[in-house]
Amino acid sequence: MIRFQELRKSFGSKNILNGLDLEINTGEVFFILGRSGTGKSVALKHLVGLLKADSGKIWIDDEEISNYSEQAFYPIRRKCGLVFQLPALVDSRNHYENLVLGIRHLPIEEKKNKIEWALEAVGLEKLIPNLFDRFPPSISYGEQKRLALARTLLPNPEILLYDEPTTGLDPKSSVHIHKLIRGISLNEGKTSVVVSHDMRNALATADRLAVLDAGQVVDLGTPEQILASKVPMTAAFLEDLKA
Amino acid sequence: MAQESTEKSTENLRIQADSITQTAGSLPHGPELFKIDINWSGASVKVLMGESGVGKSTLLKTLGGVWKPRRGNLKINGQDLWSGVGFRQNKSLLREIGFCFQNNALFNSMTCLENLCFPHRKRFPETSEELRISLAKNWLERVELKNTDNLLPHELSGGMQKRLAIARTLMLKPKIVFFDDPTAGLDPITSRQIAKMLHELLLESPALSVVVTNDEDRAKQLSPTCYILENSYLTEKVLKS
Repeated sequence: MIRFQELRKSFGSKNILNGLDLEINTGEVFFILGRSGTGKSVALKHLVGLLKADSGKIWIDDEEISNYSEQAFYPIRRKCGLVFQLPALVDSRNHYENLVLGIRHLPIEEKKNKIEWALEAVGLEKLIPNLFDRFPPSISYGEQKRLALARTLLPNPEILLYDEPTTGLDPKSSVHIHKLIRGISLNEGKTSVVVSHDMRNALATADRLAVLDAGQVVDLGTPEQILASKVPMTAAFLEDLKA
Repeated sequence: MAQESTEKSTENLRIQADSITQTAGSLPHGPELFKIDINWSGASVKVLMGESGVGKSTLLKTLGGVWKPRRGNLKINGQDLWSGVGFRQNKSLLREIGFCFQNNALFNSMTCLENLCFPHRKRFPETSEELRISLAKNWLERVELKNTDNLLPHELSGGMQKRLAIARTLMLKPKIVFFDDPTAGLDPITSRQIAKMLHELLLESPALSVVVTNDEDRAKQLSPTCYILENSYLTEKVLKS
């Protein structure tokens, strides 16, 4: 279970989170939607201690992590895997070295098996010849996104946080990644929190969705409830689907 | 919705590619991503789509003169783009090309106004500073960035940065202009607004434009048809509304 209570965060004079209240159940595929700058990614970054709230509380399971020190966040970061909005690969390391960053402690054979599974899961295995020896700048942006996703899956985190995992990907790849997110959650009981702009895939993938505006939840519900919603921000997000 | 035809004039607006090939990232030893023939002309909008990794951005950068084709001939407005000395582009021809990058490529240390003025100053040194500033302010207004003259790019939202990058590209009056995924990473509302604005600006502009996008909804706003890059070739497809 993840819970935000009255979370507030400002950058200078800009208020991003204005008392965010949100509860996400264990094993749930939960989507957070909203316009750019409305605090979706900011909320996600609080969960792994990349940002500190000005006020309010955050719980992961029964642990209140709001005031944790940098050191106290280490086990939380093992529990939560974050897929960054930008691929965040190390350009000077080849793909193999990038993939093993979080699983260096494992025996070679286990590393190999896990990498094979992760690459197949993100659909990269057959896409790029000599994948391991090549470097991130030699593959496309979409392929880098998939590689970054594979890297996050490898340490087997309990909670997966996805910050716009399909931005810049074509529709077919986006559908594939969303099915993967759903599949991982269902098969392995992982909680998935996905920040997204992709309404079509969000509605097809989520158990529940929240729509944020000005740092607060303005709409919350199952895909069916969101589709029928009369909240103006939700309706504006659904415009393409109804066109 | 895009109008049925955006064709205006075919004079001096032409991209001709004769079996051009390119490797991923233009690396010398990589596999070739495509072998393409193109003959596009007239003031119109060509939308380019395709799966991730298929080479859309690579094709755009090759057509736009950022990377030299591995093989084949590329002519822009009837002239060989790579006819410069050694492996250099034809400079005068390069001036007729505009490119709007996916990551905006704004100058972080320059204000919005200076982001527009700096490349204009390089391309049109004969223009007076007074006229240049007035042109830049006019462009800021056209892309709904009024009163942002003195702001730095990091003080703008993602959508505003995109609008600034579009204004900078079009202020240089390119005859051939390329946009690499101009709505990537934006929320659907902003993305729809940017595509609408871009469509209106391109309708007013006497240029041949090529736009890469992954979003079919945005593609429909720009043109009734699109070109799909698949299995190394381009095929034209009608976009259903």
